Amino acid sequence: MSEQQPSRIEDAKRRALAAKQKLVAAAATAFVFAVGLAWLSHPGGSTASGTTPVESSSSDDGSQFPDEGESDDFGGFDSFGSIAPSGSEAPQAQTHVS
Amino acid sequence: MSRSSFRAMGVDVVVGRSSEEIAVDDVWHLVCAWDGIFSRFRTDSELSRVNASAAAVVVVSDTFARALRAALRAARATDGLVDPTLGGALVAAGYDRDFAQLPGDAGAVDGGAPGAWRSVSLTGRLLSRPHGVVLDLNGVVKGMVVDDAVRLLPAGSFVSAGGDLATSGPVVVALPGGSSIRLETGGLATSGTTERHWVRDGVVQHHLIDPRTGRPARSRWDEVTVAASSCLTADVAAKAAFLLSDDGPSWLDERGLPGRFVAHAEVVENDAWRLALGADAVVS
Repeated sequence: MSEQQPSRIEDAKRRALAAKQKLVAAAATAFVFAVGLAWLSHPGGSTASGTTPVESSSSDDGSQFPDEGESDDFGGFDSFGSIAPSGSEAPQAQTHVS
Repeated sequence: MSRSSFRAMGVDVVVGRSSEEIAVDDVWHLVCAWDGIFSRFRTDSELSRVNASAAAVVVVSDTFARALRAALRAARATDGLVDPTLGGALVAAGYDRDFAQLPGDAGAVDGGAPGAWRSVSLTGRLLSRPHGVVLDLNGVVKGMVVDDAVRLLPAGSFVSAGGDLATSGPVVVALPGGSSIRLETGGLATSGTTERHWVRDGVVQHHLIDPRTGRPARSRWDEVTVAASSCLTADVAAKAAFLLSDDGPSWLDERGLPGRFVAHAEVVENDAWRLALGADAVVS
């Protein structure tokens, strides 16, 4: 009897560990599936039901997720263009409020 | 230099180029495509769909994400003066349709919500924002599309949309209130209220919303012109300088940006502007 007790405890531990691993794997799979389903089910969606956790407003292929750091459109005010006197030249363009 | 023009995004777009053989079709397609994404007045635009969506998280297009990313960076760089979340405040002020279709005085308006750019999160193309936040990216879109458009053309060309200009070669530009400058490269933009304003309950409203109040800003200036490395940067800086009113010229100087301010008949140039044109800075 005393020799079998550690074995039963080990078995229980193994079963608990296996169950835990299955639970984690199932949760991860469900999460990925839900995100993927939401993504794929709204290609260029134009309606809003309010019930979908993630909607797509675009018709892009969605293959890329550019990082925040990739944009260089607005890098702050660290440099500026150059202006100079126009002399006697006639304007070719104008800047104004639109 | 030859010039072509067309109307898009509610403004006149002018393309100046050194060769007649260079078609403006590419520029036209680009501007129309951006209008289709960012128009506040087209129900089928991506911006309208995003604003209409009740979903907490929305997947946006690459172009939309790019513009929103620039808008959020502009908000951070201006301490929230240029804020992409003022779409609701614009509607509250009465700017709820294309400007040309705005009715006469249609009675009192409510104040809009203050800016809430810090509540907007963009991770890749996943956009999340609180319920009720209405985006308006026109604070950056016009400058961005002008910068993109000039890159489609050969060196020495310029593109202007509603007076906001980018060039890849020297161009002489007429300024508000008279005089002109030569813009060697980069961008030049003017913000102000002399054109786009309307009346509600006897009170003049305009499109430059103060994010601190959610209402049209009160500024000493009628028009502010800024030169910068790009049209986007110039446009953002001009809006911020306008909203800062008396502090606008020094705010630009602190960032090394030339600025020219017009108020009625008065023209004020900041030190960076004066130095760039060979004049002495004003010693205070």
